[in-house]
Amino acid sequence: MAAFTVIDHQELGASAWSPNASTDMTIWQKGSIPASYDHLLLEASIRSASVAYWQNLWIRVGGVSDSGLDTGANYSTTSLTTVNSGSPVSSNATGQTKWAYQYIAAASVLADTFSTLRIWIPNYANTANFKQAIIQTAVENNVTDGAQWNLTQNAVLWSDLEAITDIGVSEPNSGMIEHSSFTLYGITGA
Amino acid sequence: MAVIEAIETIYLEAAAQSVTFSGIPSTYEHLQLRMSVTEEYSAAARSYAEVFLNGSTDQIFSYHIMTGMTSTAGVVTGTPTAGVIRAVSGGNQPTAGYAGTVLDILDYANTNKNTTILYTSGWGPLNANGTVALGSLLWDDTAAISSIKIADSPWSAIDFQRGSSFTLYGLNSA
Repeated sequence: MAAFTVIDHQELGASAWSPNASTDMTIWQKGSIPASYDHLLLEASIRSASVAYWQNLWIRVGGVSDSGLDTGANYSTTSLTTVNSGSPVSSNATGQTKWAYQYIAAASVLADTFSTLRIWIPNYANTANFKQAIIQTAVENNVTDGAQWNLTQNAVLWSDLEAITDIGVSEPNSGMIEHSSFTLYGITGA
Repeated sequence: MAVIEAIETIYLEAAAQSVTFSGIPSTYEHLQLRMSVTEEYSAAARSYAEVFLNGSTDQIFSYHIMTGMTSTAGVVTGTPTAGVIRAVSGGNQPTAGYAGTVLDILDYANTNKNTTILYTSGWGPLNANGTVALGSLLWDDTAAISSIKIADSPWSAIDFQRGSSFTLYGLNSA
């Protein structure tokens, strides 16, 4: 059996995601994720339409009982980031309604430059423990000014025993721009 | 068709200043490069490598590195410049071995996007000189990537050493 399986791939067109045709440009979302893999890996190349150097990305997951994404206060983050400082800063947040402390390049960044987002969710389908994940983002830009680029690595927790069946990544302010893309992989052990 | 395919592995039987992956097909969605590299530069615990894309030597990269070295955290940045990545272990502790690095190059064939690279790298220390890094690289060019050259830093007199290895993977999206 293949170790990697593509669960979903979407690229944002001028007005809709392809191939799912959703016109909501503020969010990429995938549901009905089967529990048959061991781990999930999301690779995304994305850019915000907001007039700023960067925006917060909101990331949520959900289980069957959520009928979509969980909006309860079940999210925690420990963050290592350079955002707004140009030097590494560590912080912690608990009882959040989403994972919010990662970032996406926005319209003031050099044209045609997209952020990389990588999310690794090990053992996403286990029902014995809460779910841990690692989130990495890069807001690249052709500057050294610390307010106009950032790197972030977050260790995050979803305090829920349900298997993850849904995941969504949103830029709730102005949405994402054309050519933003998401690829979700299921990874299987031997 | 496998979702992830090994395009090429380069294993150094002898020291070399650089390695090049050429003829990269545009048929994948993403690329991933995994490296295990040392240069055994006698004067430094750590060193850099440089990325060259599509054979270009234009200094149109920007780099940003969030790094921890010994007990100090910091950033290293540059623009416009060469494609600098912190990905090579140095030689003041040669028995510590080779630095590990994983680079993701997403949508490398999409000509609507500049090329950006996100990577993690690091090596644990025998003494106080370990390093860990999360870095990114921007190439201000929207061309599809067909070749990747990884070169040892020009300010080091010592090349990549025997045993260094580089594997380029292609990730499909269907």
